Amino acid sequence: MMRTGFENLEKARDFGLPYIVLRTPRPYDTTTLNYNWQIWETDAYSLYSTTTDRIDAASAGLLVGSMERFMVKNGILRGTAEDCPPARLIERWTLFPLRPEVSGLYRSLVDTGSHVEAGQPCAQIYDPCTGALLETLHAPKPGTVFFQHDAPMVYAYTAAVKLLPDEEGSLSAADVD
Amino acid sequence: MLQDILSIRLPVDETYRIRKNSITHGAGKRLCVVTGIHGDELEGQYACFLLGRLLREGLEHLHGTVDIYPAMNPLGIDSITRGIPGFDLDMNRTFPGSDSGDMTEFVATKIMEDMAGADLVLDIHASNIYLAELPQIRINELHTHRLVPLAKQANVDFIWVHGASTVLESTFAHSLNSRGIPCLVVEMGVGMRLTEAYGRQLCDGMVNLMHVLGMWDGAVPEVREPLVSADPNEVAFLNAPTSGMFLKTKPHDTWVKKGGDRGLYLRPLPGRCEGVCQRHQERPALHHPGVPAGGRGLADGADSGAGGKAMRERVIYSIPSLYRDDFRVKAYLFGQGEKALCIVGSMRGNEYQQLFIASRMVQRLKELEETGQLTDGVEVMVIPSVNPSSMNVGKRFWATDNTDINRMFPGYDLGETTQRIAAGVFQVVNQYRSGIQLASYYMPGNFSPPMCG
Repeated sequence: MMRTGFENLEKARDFGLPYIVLRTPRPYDTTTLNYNWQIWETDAYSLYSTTTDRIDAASAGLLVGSMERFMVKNGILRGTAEDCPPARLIERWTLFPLRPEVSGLYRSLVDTGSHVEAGQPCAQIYDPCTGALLETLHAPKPGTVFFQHDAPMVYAYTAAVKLLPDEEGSLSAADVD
Repeated sequence: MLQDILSIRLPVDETYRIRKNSITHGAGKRLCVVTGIHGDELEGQYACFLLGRLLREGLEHLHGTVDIYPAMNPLGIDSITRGIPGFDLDMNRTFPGSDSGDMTEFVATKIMEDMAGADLVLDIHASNIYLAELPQIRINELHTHRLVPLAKQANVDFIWVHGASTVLESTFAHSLNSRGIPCLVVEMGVGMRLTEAYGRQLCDGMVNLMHVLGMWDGAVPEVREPLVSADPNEVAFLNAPTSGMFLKTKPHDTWVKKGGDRGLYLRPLPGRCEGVCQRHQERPALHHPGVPAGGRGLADGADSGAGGKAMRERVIYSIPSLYRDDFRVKAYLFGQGEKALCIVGSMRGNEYQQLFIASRMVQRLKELEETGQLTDGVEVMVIPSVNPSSMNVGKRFWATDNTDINRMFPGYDLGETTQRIAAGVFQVVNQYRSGIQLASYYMPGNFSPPMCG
């Protein structure tokens, strides 16, 4: 959710999703539907599924269920909603990116959503012409693979993996080699 | 001297470079000439060529440094792509960048570092592929006092002082002006073309600017006195009344009287002139600006459906097309009464998952309504796709000008096509108490699990 001063975090929990991500809007966000909805005082929410350009039916079902739960909690649908574990509120900046210093063929070593330990290799980048291993991305601390690059090629400096640190620990820039 | 300001290896055997031609003679101020941020805007290329040649042949007259950056978006120029290929981003919305950000943000921050210390920067653009424009400089009203006197020396025909806009805070020019480095934004000509006369006109202007800055003691051409406008009502938009092929009957940059024509809108099928235009459109095929929401919108639009406890279908915005079916944004409505919730599915042509989720939601709401689960006195609207037109041709953004509808809100009724679409849609969806957008991330990747953000 974008911090516009109009965001409604309590209502966001009505979706029953495990995570709510907060961030500060950038100038180019001010022309998005969500931002304008908010400043024109519509309670606005952006829901992110696991994929974009391919169908993930399981994830779709989760989001349909979450929207139905929201409607029940807000009196749009009759019935009662089951209790869910409270959503973890995440500041966008706590999602720690692993960025390769080189471009090349991307090979993932972990599944999105899996837990990784400190030092665990998460991805490798190869030279597409020679096959040489150019770089390995390692998790600096234990956490969950929250987001992962999903294309054959990766550009240097691009966030290939984003880790959500375990709640009992937090990542800082100094933790990265 | 040619220098790389940035060098990054790309995935397959290629190095991405941003280069400048740095010309120094003696001591003095520094002028930076930048172009090619948008890969489909080429007018600045000729102006850079002329300036580079003039300085090479008359180096003894230069006192200071001129840095010429002809290709800020080299991948875009070499593929005639407006944005940054591979990222689907408008480079002129990534500034000032970040050295801890993604590649595009890293590039932007390196460009800003290289501009440090400049006494004046010119950022040359070329409108877009549809619109031909007189050489002009556009200035944010926040910087009027400092920039207008300089702009008057640049040999342009028009200076347009416009209002501040938050989205422009992420442009190259705004980032420089905010740091105290004066930057003039030049727009001239048309996308994907070189207009020789404009290149020469601007080159003369750059020579005059160097003279004004004390950098040039050679021959200085006379420069024209530009029109200056700071009143938003002085610039009128004349938009196409119909879709069709545009045939210009007069060149732009000519005077017209009220009611004078500039072009014709033609429909080759069946072979008919549909109307007359008084504004210069460069590209032949264009779209009708769209039926305003009030014309075929929520207020008086007809729903299809049995009424009562039945899903209703409504077109909330439409544009006639030339050869395709009319572009339509369709919504499905459930219940009647207070506008409680609006759900928007896909905004872009590759958001198949978002469209799929919306379609599942339509099915679920249909079931819930038919079984009496929808609370009395509330209405829910689902819009599965705001951009079916792009999805059907496999494009992420609006196919004709590559603009992103989700960067056009709240929209503008008198603007370009995607601005009008955004305005028409927003007028409808903004009436709801709560709104849900099924969003996607701009980079290829997967989130786990689904989240609210």
